[in-house]
Parts: sequence; C-alpha cells; structure tokens
Amino acid sequence: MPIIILLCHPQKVKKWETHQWDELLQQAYSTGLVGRIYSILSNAELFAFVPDLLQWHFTSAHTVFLAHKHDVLSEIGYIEKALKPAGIHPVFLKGSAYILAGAKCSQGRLFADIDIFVSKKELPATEEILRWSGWAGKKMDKHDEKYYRDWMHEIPPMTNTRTGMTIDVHHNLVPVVSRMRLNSEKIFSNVMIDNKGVKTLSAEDKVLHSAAHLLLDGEFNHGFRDLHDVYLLIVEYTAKDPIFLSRLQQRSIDLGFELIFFYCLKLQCYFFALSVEDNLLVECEKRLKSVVISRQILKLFIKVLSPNITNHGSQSYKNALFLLFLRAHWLKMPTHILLPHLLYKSFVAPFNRRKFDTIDESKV
Amino acid sequence: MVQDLSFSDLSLCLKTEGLSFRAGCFTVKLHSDIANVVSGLSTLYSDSEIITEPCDFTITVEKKAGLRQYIKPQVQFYFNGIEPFTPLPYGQALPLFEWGLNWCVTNHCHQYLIIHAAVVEKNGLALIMPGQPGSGKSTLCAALVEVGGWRLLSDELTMVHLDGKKIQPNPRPTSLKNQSIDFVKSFTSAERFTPTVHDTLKGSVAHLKPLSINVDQFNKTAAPVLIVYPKYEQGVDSTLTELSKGDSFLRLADHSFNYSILGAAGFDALSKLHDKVGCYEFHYNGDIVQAIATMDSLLY
Repeated sequence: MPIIILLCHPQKVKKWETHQWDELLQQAYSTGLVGRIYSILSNAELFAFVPDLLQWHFTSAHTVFLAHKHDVLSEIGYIEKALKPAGIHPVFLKGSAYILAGAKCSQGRLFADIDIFVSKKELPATEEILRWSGWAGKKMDKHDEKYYRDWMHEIPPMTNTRTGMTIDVHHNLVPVVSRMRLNSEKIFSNVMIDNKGVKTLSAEDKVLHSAAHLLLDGEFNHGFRDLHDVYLLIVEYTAKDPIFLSRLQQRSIDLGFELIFFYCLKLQCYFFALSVEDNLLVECEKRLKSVVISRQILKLFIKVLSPNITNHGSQSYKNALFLLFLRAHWLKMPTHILLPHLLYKSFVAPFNRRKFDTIDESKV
Repeated sequence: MVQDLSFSDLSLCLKTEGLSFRAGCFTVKLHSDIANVVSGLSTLYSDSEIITEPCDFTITVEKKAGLRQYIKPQVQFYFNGIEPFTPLPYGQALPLFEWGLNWCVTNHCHQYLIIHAAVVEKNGLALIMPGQPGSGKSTLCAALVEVGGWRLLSDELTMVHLDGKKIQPNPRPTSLKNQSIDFVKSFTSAERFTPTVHDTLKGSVAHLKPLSINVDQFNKTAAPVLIVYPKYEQGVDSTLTELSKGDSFLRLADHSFNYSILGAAGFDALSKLHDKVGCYEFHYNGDIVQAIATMDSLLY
C-alpha cells in the first residue's frame, strides 16, 4: 500500500506514478496523516516529487499543524500558570508531550485535547483550581459522572472557556477498576523534566502508554496513526540508545504491561517491518498466558488497524471491531460493573441523550 | 462532460467505480447509490468536465446501514471513510452532498483565506458580499448573475489568494432557501433548479445550476475592488452607506473560516485586500433592478 511504502521507505516515492499519489492522498486523509506525510517528505527533500495538482493538500495540512502547535503550546502555558502557584506540576501525556519533547511523531500530528496526569492526592485541588481559572466541565448524566469518577482513570473532560480547548485530567494511566492494574507511583518516580521544569513521561513510559492507549481502547478511528506514533518513538529512541527495546521490555515487565508490549512489537513488525531480535520476540511469547488466544487477537488488531479503508464495509472487519470493543470493555471493567454499564449505554442513554445533545449546525 | 453520460450510465458510474468531475475549481470523486444524488448531479453539474487525473476530494454519499433504514432511513456523508457529520434524513442526500463539499473546502484549503461571502465579477473586478444567513446575499448574488450580467465566482465561499490581490473562482451551484427560491425562479429558468427539499436544518432548500460560461472560467481570477455587506429588509428604501476599512476588516475576519489557522498570513491577506477596496453597507428591499444599478454604479 502506498502509505506503508512512504512511511517505511520514503525514497521510493521518486519512482511513483500519479495513481500511487492518488491512493496515498486518500489513505493519508482517512488515517489523519496528511500533515505528517508533509513533514516526512519535506525533511527528506522529496516534496518536489508530489504531483503539482495535489501539493496543496499537504502544505495546507502543514499550515493547520503549525496553528495547532502554537495553540497547544499556549494552552500548556495557561495550564502551567494556573497550577504552579499550588505547587502542582502535572505530567503532560500523549500529543502535548510529543510536542514538548520535540519528538518526531509530533510533526504534523493534530489532537483534540490536552491530557495531563496528576497524583490522586493532587486531583481535587487540580480540578478546583482549573474551575477557578476558567475551565468548565460538560453537563453529564449521573451514570457518566460515576463512570468517570469511580471507575476510570480520568475525571470528566473540562473545556477552557477562553480558548475552547479541552483538557483530560488523569490520575492513572489505565482505568482504576480495570483488570490491568497499574501503580501510578511507579510512573511518577520515572518522569522526564525539561529545562523549563515541564514534565512528560520517560521514554519507555511514553511508548508503553501510547501502545496501551491504542490497544486497550475499543475505538480505532486514529488507530493507524497512533500505531505509527509508537513506531516513530521507538525508532527515535533506538537511534539514541541501541538497547532501547530491551529496556522497554524490562519496563513492560515492571509495570505488568507484557501483553501490551507483545502486541505492540508484533504490530510494528507487521506494518512497518521494525527490526526486532528474534530472542526478544521469543522471550515475549513465553510470558503470555495463552499464545493461541493472543495470536488470534493479534489478527483482529491487524484487521482493524490496516489503513486500507476499502474493506471497512466488510463483515469480517465489523466482526473484528466488535470483538475488540468487547475485549476492551472486558479489560476495562469487572463483570459486575461492565454488564450494567453496557445495558445502560444501549437502552437508557439513547433516550437521555436527546436532553443533552442538539445537532451541531455549525458543522454543516 | 457529465451531460454526455446517459442517466443510466451516470447512475451506474456513481454506483460502481465512482464519478470524477470538476466542481468549481476543485475535483471530486463521488460514489453514491442514491437516486436523488444522481438526478441532482445531472441537473447541477451537467456542464462539468469529467476528470481522469487524481481528485481532490473522494466522497461517498450513501444510505446509513443498520436497522433504522427500514423505519426512518438516513443518509451519511463520508470523506475518505471519515464521517464528519451526524446522518441526515434520506431525502436530504443532495443538500448533504453540497454542504459536505463546502466542508471539504473550508476545512482543507488553507492556500486561500476563505470568507463566508458571495462574490461576483464584472470587467475583471470582483465584488465581495459577506452576510449572515438571511441577509439576502445569495438572492442578490443570483440577481446580479442572472439579470445583471455579472460572472459568478462563488455564492458561498470567497477564496482570497494570500497576496490579497486575487479572488479564486469556485463556481458551484447556488444554494437558495425558503422564500428566495420562488423569488429567484421568477427571473430565471426553473429547469436549472433541483427540486426543493423541505425541513432541513436551514429550512427549505433548492440548488440552482451555475451558467456554463461561469463554470468554464473556473480558473480566471478577478481583482477585488468592492466589499458590500447586504441586508435585506422588506419595505425600506434601498440605501448604500460607506463603511470604514477598519470596521470591514474586523467583520471580514469574523466571517472567515480559516483566519485563525492562517495566523499572520491571514492578517496580511486581509490588510492587502483592504488596501484596494471600497467598503459599503447596502440595505435593500428586494428591488433587484435598482440593486443591480447600484452595484454597477460602484464599479465606475
């Protein structure tokens, strides 16, 4: 597929014909990678190979990215300014962290909200201060409120009323009631602090968090892009530290993320031909509870993460999506919480929703 | 051209490999199995070129799957597999395509400053008419083009080159609402209209096919010289009031879709645009002959 060829071997575009660029553009739009492809091509001095008629798509996406980056950096400034007087120094996660760390995967990447991570102890003060400083929560029904506060790893999203940007405040990286427990102290003791005192996760934790988010969540709208984020992070950190992958494996064992590490490596090998030593993969497989089940789940991931949108209408794609949705919920919540939640979401929420939603006319 | 295809060929093409055609200054590859879309396309885009090169926007408009389709069917718009909107009632498929295509332009084309305004040209000079919904800009635009001999550049999206000196035409169907549909039909031929669709988010909607000479000149830019803010009011005397450039600058920034994305480049484009233009507010009562005379007088 053109997009995979471009992401793995950008030099090959020199020999491309128009129809390959055509396919690339469609795949780039559907995966949300138009801006990133601009960066890859222009960093490699290959942008001139894009057919003239299609160039504006990529330069426009870059314009949007520059504006987005500017907005994100000022938003980070507002958040820091609000929380600093209380002695709270949040850890920035995902998209905003990639920008702060100057990571390659931040280039051309857009994201909807800023994610920050504070300790459970600091959570009430963080929420209170943000409210006082102009952030407001969205109206929710009782069920959703309980879902976030008692079961998940974050509080309901808040919006900065001046800028319109949304913030997700996390107090853990995985849902607190989930089957994958994570001691958040282990994450805090390992964070990276830049020269301005702004915190992001350590290199290993950035990769594992990104992979965990992708593989534990039941939605894959930006799945392929997120998978490529992980690829770029691994490549970037491996260039600085040749044994990064073994470190990553060690860290995954410390955190109890072995399964995530396994899927992540396998998917990177499958889609982007990441070179991984055989014994590392063997070592990973040894730690799995059931190799057979894990291999089946891996096949489902490959199905839903593929950038080929032509098979999205197929029944096998829909089945894979549904099975992974169930798996995500199974991992997220114990059965006594999960069943009432799914019943509520399918039968009660659709009727309640009308009270909260109006159709967004501005979008049309 | 699209009109060279028979109705059944057009329908088959849209259902199978998709139809690639020019829509304004952009190219679209459309897939659809909806009869309203096929007939709408054959009315509105009959003068459009069929394209063999790669297209800008790959779009699918189709019935939303699921149990609901048997009770109250809905139509969904896909841009390369992405669903930017909540689905609409099935009968609104054609307006959804037109609105969706506007969304494609305003969300992706940041090589221009895009302003929510109608824009027309005469003697190479462009008249920009920004306006809130209901201000009568589309009606005034239709009158200037159909009766006044102006060329349609766009009835909805004014695309300003970032040097502020040129307007890029995007001649697409004019979207008319509510009473303005019958009003415009009173001075133009009814065959160029799509059937009126009622009860949409914007009320009743019909689309008017652009003149083929306007469609052909999609690449001939025009120099902006006038910005007129129309305001339709029944029963008043039509009046033209000069507006300060500063006022107009702020109003236009507010009317633009991507001013904040463009940042400094957007500011520069608006400043350079205002260096060369006269700015007016125009209250008009629906007397199109007088309105055309007023606009013509501003040119000379």
